[in-house]
Amino acid sequence: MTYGVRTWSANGVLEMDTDSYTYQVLHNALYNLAVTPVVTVSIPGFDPANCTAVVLPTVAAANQYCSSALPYMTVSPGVVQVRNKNPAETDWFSTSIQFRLLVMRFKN
Amino acid sequence: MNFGLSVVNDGNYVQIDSEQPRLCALYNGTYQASGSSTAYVTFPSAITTPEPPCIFIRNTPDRPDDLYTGMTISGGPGNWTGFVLTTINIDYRPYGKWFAAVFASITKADYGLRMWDANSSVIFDSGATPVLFTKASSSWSFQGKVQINPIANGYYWRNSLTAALLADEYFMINPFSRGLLTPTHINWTPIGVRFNYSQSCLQVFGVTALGAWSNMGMPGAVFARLPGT
Repeated sequence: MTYGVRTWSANGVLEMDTDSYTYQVLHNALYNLAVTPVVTVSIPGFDPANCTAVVLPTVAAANQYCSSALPYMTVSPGVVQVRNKNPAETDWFSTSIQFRLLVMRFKN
Repeated sequence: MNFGLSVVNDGNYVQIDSEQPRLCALYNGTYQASGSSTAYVTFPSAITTPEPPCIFIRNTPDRPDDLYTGMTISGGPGNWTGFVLTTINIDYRPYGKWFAAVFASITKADYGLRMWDANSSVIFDSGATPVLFTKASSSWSFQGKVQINPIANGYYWRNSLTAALLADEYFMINPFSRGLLTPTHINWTPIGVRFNYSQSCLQVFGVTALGAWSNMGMPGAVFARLPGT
């Protein structure tokens, strides 16, 4: 390790070593699909090869209907998009959940 | 940044600062259902964050067929008391290891490093280890359809990341904790998720009589280690 920090526990075990923990939070925000049906977030530097995005539901599912279902998420260079419907859906059936979008870079 | 510590490693990753709090593992343990397909976990103390914690699980290789259909966090904002894991078949018995992580920290350690932000909240404590993300992928491929029973079919996808799961490595179940959108129907499609040890990948099954889109989007498969567990 040339740069970074290490911490050890009371019994001498190496717990954190910034060499082995190579991730960086790129974006971390709350969204509501009931308000914004299609969330498009521009994230400069986002590369699907070394970055990822996760949808973390923040409110419990009310039922087992589409309104509580997982949204349709896609990632592409520089952009993460979360949609309330599958793009192939022609009817109204959609989700309206609230979630935290966590985007991170996890490797070089 | 006005408070905290900014750490940059050899790869130029900004790793700790007060502006982007990171996921810290607060509690961990094992879960095991005995007479049913539901396992209940209670945290040693309630997690007091406004938002629910992230739950990471490692389904045991001893029960490779069990598919996890639900993960419900118990309690409410400021008082998350545990979680419930449910598998998709009455013959399945959820069994494995877990840890819970939040975008906050708690004071646990007598040795190490502790930091506070501008509002005096603890943002880092050596006793609540920052989650060590190991790998992740948003790339999935549709594997096909199998008949589950006379009514329902199983549609299944695999994550493109092929790698063995280390003994102290887990996957985040929150992004798979509820159903998928169903083509032109109001009901969601229940899903089952598991780490498939024979194919060394994360796998998702959608079980429905209503049909499914082969393209389910790109949910994040995120793996993390809790060293020594």
